[in-house]
Amino acid sequence: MGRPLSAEEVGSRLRARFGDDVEVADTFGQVAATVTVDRYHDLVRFLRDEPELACDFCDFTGGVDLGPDGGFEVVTQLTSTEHHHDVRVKVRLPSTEPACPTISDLFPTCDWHERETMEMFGIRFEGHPHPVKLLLAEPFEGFPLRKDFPLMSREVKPWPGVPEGEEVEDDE
Amino acid sequence: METQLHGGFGQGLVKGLSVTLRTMLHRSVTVQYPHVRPDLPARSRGVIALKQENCTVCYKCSRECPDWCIYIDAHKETHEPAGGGRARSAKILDRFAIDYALCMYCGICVEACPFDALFWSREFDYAEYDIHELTHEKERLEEWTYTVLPPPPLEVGAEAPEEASA
Amino acid sequence: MAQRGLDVGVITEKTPIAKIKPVRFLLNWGRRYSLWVFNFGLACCSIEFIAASTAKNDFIRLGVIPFAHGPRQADLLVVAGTLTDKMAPVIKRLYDQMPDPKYVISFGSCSNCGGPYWDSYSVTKGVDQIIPVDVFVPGCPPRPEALLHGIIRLQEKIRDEDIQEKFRSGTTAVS
Repeated sequence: MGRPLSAEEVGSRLRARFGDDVEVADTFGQVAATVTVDRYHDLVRFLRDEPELACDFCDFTGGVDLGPDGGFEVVTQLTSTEHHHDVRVKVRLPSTEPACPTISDLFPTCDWHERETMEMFGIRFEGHPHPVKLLLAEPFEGFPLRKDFPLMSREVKPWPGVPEGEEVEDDE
Repeated sequence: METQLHGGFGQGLVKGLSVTLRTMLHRSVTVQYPHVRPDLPARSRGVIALKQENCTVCYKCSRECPDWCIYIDAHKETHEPAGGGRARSAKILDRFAIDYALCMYCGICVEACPFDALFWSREFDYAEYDIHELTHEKERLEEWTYTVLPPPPLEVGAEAPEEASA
Repeated sequence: MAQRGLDVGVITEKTPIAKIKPVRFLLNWGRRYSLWVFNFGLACCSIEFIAASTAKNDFIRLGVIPFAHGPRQADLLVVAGTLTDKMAPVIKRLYDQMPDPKYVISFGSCSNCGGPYWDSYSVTKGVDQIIPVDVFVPGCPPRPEALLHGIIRLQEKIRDEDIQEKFRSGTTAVS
């Protein structure tokens, strides 16, 4: 029977093993561990193999675009089916040439999640066995979920909400 | 599957056929559209009707529409009052079209309209051969106002609307 | 412009007997009341399509026989749901596999013109960009009775149709 660990306990175990490479925060009761790129794979392996953490179920792997100043972030949620606690792992990546090691060798489900993150954000996952597009059609250019990707239909079609002769108010 | 050990030869056949006969003689639940139209509730989202005399051309519905499917054209006219005084200007609606090919029947325009010019009607049968014919102009939208039902009665215990108590 | 499907049957654009009025009436009557539907249910509209095939609103009483076993045995294609760019070559291939004469009903806003996803990066804005469509049924989703109305309008269109003209032009929709 498992024992769910609190955020401080998870944090102390991670800090003991990884030192300054990881920052653990308690976000609304959820543990979020922000780790550097080169320790990402080791951290996920530690979370999976350590008996008191035993995070054996990968919920999802996704990406976040934090804008031109923030870069990208890869977020992975790992859950322990034995202890019933979850850990969210975040990796900060630079805005240009974002690259991150793959965890699909540890969790096979991340294969498809990383393919989707690759095609939507342009983040390269090193060591991925099959880095082809998952959801987008093959000749698609660009990375749709980036903040600077324009929706072409909204560019091409004029907004019908403006009376003729009036200027569009620019709220942004 | 149990086999019938008693009852005689052909018992399973008789039982099966009796079920068939019972189903055959049972009244069917099919609603015979197009001869019988379904009885839909008053709040059904079939089509949006426009009451032109209520519309003040504020463009709110067109702005709020997430599909950008309401097209409004209008112009201003000024009238001199007969008894002298300042000229009044009024907005005249030239064109009010809803593109029902794009419309997703969310009802944001009906809710956003501050002057109660848009109503839900429960008509659903306006399929067309050509997609451009699915953009309906204000004349057709006005025709649909005659099919709009009064709102359903409030539930027991609900607050009376402000207009009723005034 | 869609490819010509396989010619099945005796009547083609070269058969003069199809021009005689009683023969034409009989052929159109037979064709419009025996449509085999190949359901291409992609999203929520397919639920309404299935509802139209159940007992309450039965489209089999209009002559539309449900669920052909594949495109090669169907003559009506009902596209119900959102067509994404990744699915577009698939629907084109399935449409090409249907034998002539074939008809297409576009069911719901998403297949009419993209619908609520008109601004998406991965949605084809309307199935009529890929294949010719005969009847557009508006709604999001349309009622099952709206599909029955759409089928009735298609049947009216087939009643006034010239089968030779249909085979000669190579497409099924008047555009």
